[in-house]
Amino acid sequence: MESLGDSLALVLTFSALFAMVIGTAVGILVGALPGLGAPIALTLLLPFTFGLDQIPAIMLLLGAYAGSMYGGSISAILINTPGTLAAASTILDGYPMAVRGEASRALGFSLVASTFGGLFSTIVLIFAAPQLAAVALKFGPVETFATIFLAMTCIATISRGSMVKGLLAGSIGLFLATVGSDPVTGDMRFDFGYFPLTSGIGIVPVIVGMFALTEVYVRVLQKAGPPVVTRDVAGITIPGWSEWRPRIGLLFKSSGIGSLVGILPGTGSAAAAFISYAEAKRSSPRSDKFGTGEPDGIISAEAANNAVTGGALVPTLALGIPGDGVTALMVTSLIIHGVTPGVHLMSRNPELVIALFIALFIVNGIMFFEALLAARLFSRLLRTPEPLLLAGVIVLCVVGAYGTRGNFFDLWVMLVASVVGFGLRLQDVPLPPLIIGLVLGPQFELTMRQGLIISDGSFLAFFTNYPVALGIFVVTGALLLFPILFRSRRHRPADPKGS
Amino acid sequence: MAPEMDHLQPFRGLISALAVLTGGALMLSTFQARYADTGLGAAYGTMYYPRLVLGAWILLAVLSLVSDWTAPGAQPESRRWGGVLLLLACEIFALGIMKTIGFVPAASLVFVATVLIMGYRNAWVWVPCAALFPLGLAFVFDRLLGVVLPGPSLTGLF
Repeated sequence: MESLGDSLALVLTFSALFAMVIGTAVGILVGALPGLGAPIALTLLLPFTFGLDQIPAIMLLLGAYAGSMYGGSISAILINTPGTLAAASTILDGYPMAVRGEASRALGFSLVASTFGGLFSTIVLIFAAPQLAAVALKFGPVETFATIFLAMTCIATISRGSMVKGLLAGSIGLFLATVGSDPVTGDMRFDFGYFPLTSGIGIVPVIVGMFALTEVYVRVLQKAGPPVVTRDVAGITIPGWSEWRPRIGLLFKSSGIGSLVGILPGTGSAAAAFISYAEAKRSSPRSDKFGTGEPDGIISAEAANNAVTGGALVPTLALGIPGDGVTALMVTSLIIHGVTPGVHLMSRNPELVIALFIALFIVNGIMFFEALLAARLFSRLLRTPEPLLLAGVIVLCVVGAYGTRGNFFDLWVMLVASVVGFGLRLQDVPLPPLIIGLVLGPQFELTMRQGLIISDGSFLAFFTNYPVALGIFVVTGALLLFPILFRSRRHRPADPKGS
Repeated sequence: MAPEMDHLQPFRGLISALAVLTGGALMLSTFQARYADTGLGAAYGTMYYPRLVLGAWILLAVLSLVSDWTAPGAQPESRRWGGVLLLLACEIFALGIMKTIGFVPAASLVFVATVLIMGYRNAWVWVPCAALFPLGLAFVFDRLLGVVLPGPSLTGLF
């Protein structure tokens, strides 16, 4: 109870609440702008946290995280373009409702489902994260190494694009993390005699370059499409209880799917929304109306993609292992502000963890009321010319990359990362595994080398002396082999005898 | 990868080939004489882990190259490559002079370049935006948040 009181005192301050209000508003707006989404919302807000205290800084980013997940549905419903990939399945029923003249009602279903999904997943987070951390607290270096290896493999294999390219991106990220001093002996590596490289490659400039600047290049590269037609909306109409009563089960089920998918590394909100939508379509008594403007379609997609927020924070907070690019950015931001997510966070800093839980509840409430009050404003902002937005993104990228360490070299790192990231995107190489490799690289190397020291330099001991690690390695191996076996079965020529 | 990226692959295999070459060059660099005496006290040398990672990098890059060659190729389409290269050149130029002229003018330059490259022509909108947005940011960071931006200080400006 004492921790709860301390946590409330941390969250219920003017600066923290103000940060949540601003973060959520920016998150909704950036999430609503087609193609931008949560990673860019967090990237753009990151520089603004440098001058803030720890709690307001974290609250700002939490607000942006939750807000951007909901924001994607606004453009999906109003302009038939998902603000984020996670809202792609919202289009299927959201836009037909808008065409029918029910945009306000569609936004109402989306808002309630998103808020419910966010609150549901926060409860999942509250129960699951401490349990997971309690188990992980018993882990030594070998088990931690195995867990990171599993998470990296999971992220690389499940990411969009081919498994090989996902793993390649992960290995590039792991290599970049080795630049600078050796974590065990302090020897310099890969500095090539260039002094700025001795402090290593900054994570933030790489994230800014790869997520935000790359997006700008892609937009410049694409030919301008037809002008966007935004459907006017006077406000959001919250559907009455009679409309919700037959859909309560769906709301819970979709939120559960979203939370569960969020916990799994590498899956993300888009996968959660599609899985939930497919399940709703399969099981709904109104399945024949899906795709024609059926609210069940909106509810299933939106509850699931917002429920990912709490689910994805489970491994992030409990193990310090981010499951996707957005949570990698969250981990980096937390570290910048003096919080190291992982097994010891819960035991050493329970006030902060509880404060984060409380903040997630509050952020979802703020999101609800902000969207309700400012729906018309958000729909107007969708008309902002894209060139102005992207020019603003570039300028903010400069501030974000420079502000973390005040090091001019980081701006060049950002630029190089953007070019590399652009090239990789053109070749279907997913970028999140690279970022996660960079974030987890130092811990991955350290735990491996600590394990080698404990086992007198024997890798074999990792499998023979540590049953938990062995189990994790087996799962990892299965994860790597499954797509290969699945593909070879799928490509096997048909039996000519028809047997 | 977003579906709209599917047709943006005129250099199929090029990135994988570059990855093979870069990984190979980095692997060779791990055998430099300067690393021979490092790693004292560790179970394995300083370069042991990087070589494992680079080995995986090279192997995966080769596999990626093979898959690029065997996959059906996309037809190159006319895209605004010139726009991207021009934007990149502007960014390099702006970063190059940012230390001398300061954040605000350099950021305004990039802002203008982006807007014009993307074909936006309404000067009544972009001119004030290009001037005021970097200035506003500089004010917020420099004066309100206490984050010093690159280049000459703006203390005298506000």
